[in-house]
Amino acid sequence: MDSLNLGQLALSLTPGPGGPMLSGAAPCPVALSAVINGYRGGMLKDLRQVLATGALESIDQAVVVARPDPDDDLETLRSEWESLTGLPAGDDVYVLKASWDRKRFLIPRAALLSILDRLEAVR
Amino acid sequence: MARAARLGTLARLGGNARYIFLNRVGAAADVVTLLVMAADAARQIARLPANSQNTGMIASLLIGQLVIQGTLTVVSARDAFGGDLRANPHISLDDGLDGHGLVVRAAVDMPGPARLGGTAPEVPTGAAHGPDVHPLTNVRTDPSGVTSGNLGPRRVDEILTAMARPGRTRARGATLTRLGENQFQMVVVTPSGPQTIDIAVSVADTSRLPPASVHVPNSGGASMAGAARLTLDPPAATGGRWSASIVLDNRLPRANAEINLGDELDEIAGIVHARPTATRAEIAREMDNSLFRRGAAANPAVTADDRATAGALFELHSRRIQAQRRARLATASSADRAAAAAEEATHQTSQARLAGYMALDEASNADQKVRILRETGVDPNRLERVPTDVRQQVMDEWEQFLHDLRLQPAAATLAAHGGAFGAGGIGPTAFTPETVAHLMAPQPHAAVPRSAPAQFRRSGVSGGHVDSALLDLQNNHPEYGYFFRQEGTPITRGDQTYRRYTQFMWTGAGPPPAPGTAGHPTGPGPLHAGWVESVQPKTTIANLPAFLEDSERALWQYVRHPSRQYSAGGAVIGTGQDRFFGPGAQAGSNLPFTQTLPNGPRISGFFDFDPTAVGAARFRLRTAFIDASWIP
Repeated sequence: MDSLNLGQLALSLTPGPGGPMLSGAAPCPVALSAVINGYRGGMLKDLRQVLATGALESIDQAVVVARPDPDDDLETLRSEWESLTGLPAGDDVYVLKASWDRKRFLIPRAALLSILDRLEAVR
Repeated sequence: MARAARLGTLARLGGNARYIFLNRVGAAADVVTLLVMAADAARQIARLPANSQNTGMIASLLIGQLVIQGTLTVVSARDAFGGDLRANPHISLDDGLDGHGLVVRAAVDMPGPARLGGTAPEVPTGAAHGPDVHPLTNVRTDPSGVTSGNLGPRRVDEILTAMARPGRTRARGATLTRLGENQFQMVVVTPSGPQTIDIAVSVADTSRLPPASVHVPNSGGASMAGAARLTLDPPAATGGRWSASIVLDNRLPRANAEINLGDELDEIAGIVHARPTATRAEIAREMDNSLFRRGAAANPAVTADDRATAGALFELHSRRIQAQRRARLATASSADRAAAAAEEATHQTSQARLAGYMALDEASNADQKVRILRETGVDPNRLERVPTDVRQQVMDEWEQFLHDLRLQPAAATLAAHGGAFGAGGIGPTAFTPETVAHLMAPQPHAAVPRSAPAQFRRSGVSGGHVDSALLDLQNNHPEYGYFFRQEGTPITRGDQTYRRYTQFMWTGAGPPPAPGTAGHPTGPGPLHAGWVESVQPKTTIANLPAFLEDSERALWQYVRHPSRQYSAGGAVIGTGQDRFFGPGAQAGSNLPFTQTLPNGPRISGFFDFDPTAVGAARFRLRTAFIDASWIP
């Protein structure tokens, strides 16, 4: 099975319509696979533009990509990213959320863009 | 004390057969001080030679030891008897034959305390739930190997004194004031004016806890009373003071003692607030579990005990999360982390056991149970006791806990659904109880009401796609301040109706404007600035079983779509038939789908695919919803 890496985190891929999606296999966070797969399935139509410009948010009915808000526990979210990937989170980050899972996931903007680019490249 | 030991008399108090020591002056009309101790402790003192010159000194040493062990409590006689000795049980005083010796009468079981002027109903004895909910591990072992409880009255007094600090309140805003060691006064504001309760607190060995008259299972058997007892007696006359006593198991660790004390104090506040003119019979009913009872009838009354026990469950949850956080603190020592991890495990066990005694695994009355538990968690008096740095996590996980309680009714709904996977499908259902629970029950965007407005703006309420459930959250949980404004035109197809809402949350001061008035989302003019409008629409259905079938049908049509091509790694796999049913099919989670059914509705969702499972078990829906853009 193909995969792509974010630091020490290996994200396995699975076939999707028109190109691969994230398989969502552990330890891939639910919010990450939901956002990436939702985008590749036609949701979050403005996601790439939002990420390219560093805009506030990209929102669809079940998935959300947004800049952190004052109520996010950034310390915990950053440490989760860092322990999962071994990479620093930095300040240029987004918080991902899937409606059916309460857990948010913080990811650097560059990392999220990189996933989209690499999935596009292996389609 | 030594003189009192030589000159005093031991007597038996009421039907509980606990022994008291009181000085001879106290045996007259103006009793001042009582020493409450276990019967065997009293016997030990009584066996001292009555005419020995060392008796006083030995008795003094023994009493001192009992005080240190926490098995003896000094109480004010007037407070213990609610300020009215005439209305309380007779105390039989038996002097020694020589007039100054110590005399102990063997304990005799009595049907109830005798009372001056005839027989009156017994003071009801409430209790915490579950004999094994809290660990009874706070013990010490003397050189002879005998263990005894290590929770002393001074420690209990410390706990209560902290609870009585200015600004701290209990349930219903009740305030606590310290009068003396383990003597407290609670004031509860009621619709008919403030009520005052004198509360005496003591500790006792497990075997010496008074028998409880509550928590007897519907199936019969012994009371499922836990590590605390409570008595509450109404005023003898209108305008008088209530009197209450709390007895804690002296083997409770400090944290668990706090939880039990809080449970009983909240129960007192709840009873007095709800029933300021309660009779003993009414008090007895309020002290028993009703909603949180295995085999409860439908829509039972909610008692003060139900609410207080819900509070105890929340406290266990809160302390578990706090301990979990400390256990993961990188800056803490390994010993501190280990201790915190052990505390987390203990609270987790206690929480699970108490949930069992509360019958939270029973599907009956699930909505009512969740409603009371949710109200309990967001009670301002309780919320303010959760440290601010962990409050969000505590409340988030509390909501998750409440969500999990929906699994039983969701499983029942799913069983009734029967498992059709749409016409031409492959068998059993693609829904899980978790997914159905998500559809059935809306979850607040943040567990702390009216908090995190930015998150509400982006995400709105989670789940709750059944119309009646969504409106229940709006109408029956005003503390969250949600309002769902219907948009467009509802679509009806057969026995199904689809609706679309814009979500609002009130964050302004005071109550929100009334529906239809200026400032309200349904009123004229601009929206009041106190409202937060979510960009996340909410779609609902009226008929859940029909929606379950439609969602499965949509998923089935999606994965079998004849023209959609799948690929990976630059290679084309083929259609959905090849991707999901061909050889070498690969697993995937959180895969999206959108499908418009022939009868109209456009359904979107996410699903998991497991090629190693058999038949329909390969597909598992994580969520499904009506596409908002489909409803004009």
